[in-house]
Amino acid sequence: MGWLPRMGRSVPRDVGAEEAQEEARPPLVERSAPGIAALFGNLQEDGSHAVLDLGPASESSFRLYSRFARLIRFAGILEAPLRGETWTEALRLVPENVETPFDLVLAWNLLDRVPPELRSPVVARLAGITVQGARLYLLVDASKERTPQPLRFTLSGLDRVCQQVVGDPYPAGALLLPAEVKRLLRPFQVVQAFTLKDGFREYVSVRD
Amino acid sequence: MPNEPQPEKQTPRPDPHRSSPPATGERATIGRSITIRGEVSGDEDLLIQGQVDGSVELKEQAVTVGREGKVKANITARMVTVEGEVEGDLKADEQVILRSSAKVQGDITAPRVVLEDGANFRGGIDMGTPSPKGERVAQRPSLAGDKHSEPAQSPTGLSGAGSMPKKDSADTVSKAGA
Repeated sequence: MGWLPRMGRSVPRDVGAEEAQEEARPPLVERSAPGIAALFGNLQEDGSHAVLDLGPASESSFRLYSRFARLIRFAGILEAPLRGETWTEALRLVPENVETPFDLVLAWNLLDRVPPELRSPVVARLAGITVQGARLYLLVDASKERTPQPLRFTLSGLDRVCQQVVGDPYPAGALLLPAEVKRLLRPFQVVQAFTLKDGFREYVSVRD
Repeated sequence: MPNEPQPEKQTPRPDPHRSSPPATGERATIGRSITIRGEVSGDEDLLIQGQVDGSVELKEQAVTVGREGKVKANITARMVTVEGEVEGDLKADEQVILRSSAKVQGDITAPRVVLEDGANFRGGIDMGTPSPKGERVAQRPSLAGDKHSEPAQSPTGLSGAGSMPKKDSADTVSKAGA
């Protein structure tokens, strides 16, 4: 993965309680994220939104979300295999019913990570707990690297993402082409997409 | 009568049937070798360094789950601080703090929540309804720039290049309009 760290930029310390542990971990790499900027673009910072982050919790992400939302859920699905859980078990962490549906979803690289047969069911479940017009952010690895390493994503700003390798490389499935992504995301309609230098693509979609 | 015995001073004795809040700063501790299965309730602050399975309900008090503490229970208190492990929901009238060493799986309900760097948390955070000015809209997101009422426009107003937030294009090669 060719993410280049931005030298001299302060990166939030989101992992590792102990300094020694933190030093032993792969470094956080920060990059710009136009898709994140689009996701939050024009939203009012009035606490009226409800955010679902399928990744793990982090202080910096929480701080940013709380500018927009009073209801925030960190599902922690993407790190499930690291906890020894199967994907089927992990997807149960996405609630089937919620009192207040979400209107902002950060799915990160979910479709790259879950087995192909679970892609549509998980999108359907997300559709079931979001409001019409909800925005969903998705990241797809379109690089030629087919044994990518699992990454942990956190927000360091409203247009910046930090990522960190959190496990051993895994065999990736077939490359997800844009048309396939659009099909899989239904009933979310892709409204913006960005191709990044290293081949990653960011999608922002809106639920019908 | 200088040497006449004075009536004995009455010192208040604690009534075992009435629980009154203790002086500020007083705190009970569940030590690291203690395991409690059942309901923990009371009227003084509590530090849990041991293990509790059941429920913890100290509505007016502060509960701290110390670094050694392992709780499988819902905790209801005025203020909850977690440094150890909790599997259960946390509900506080004032504040919930997850320290960097915390490992929590459950839902948090509190008007103020602090999540420190390194805290391991999985679940929902509900900080209550926002002020009337910024009232939460549950059925429909209040997206500024939303053009739902104008059929010719994108449902979100996101599709046009003009609606794009200004971005740092350092890492961006191209924008593929969808």
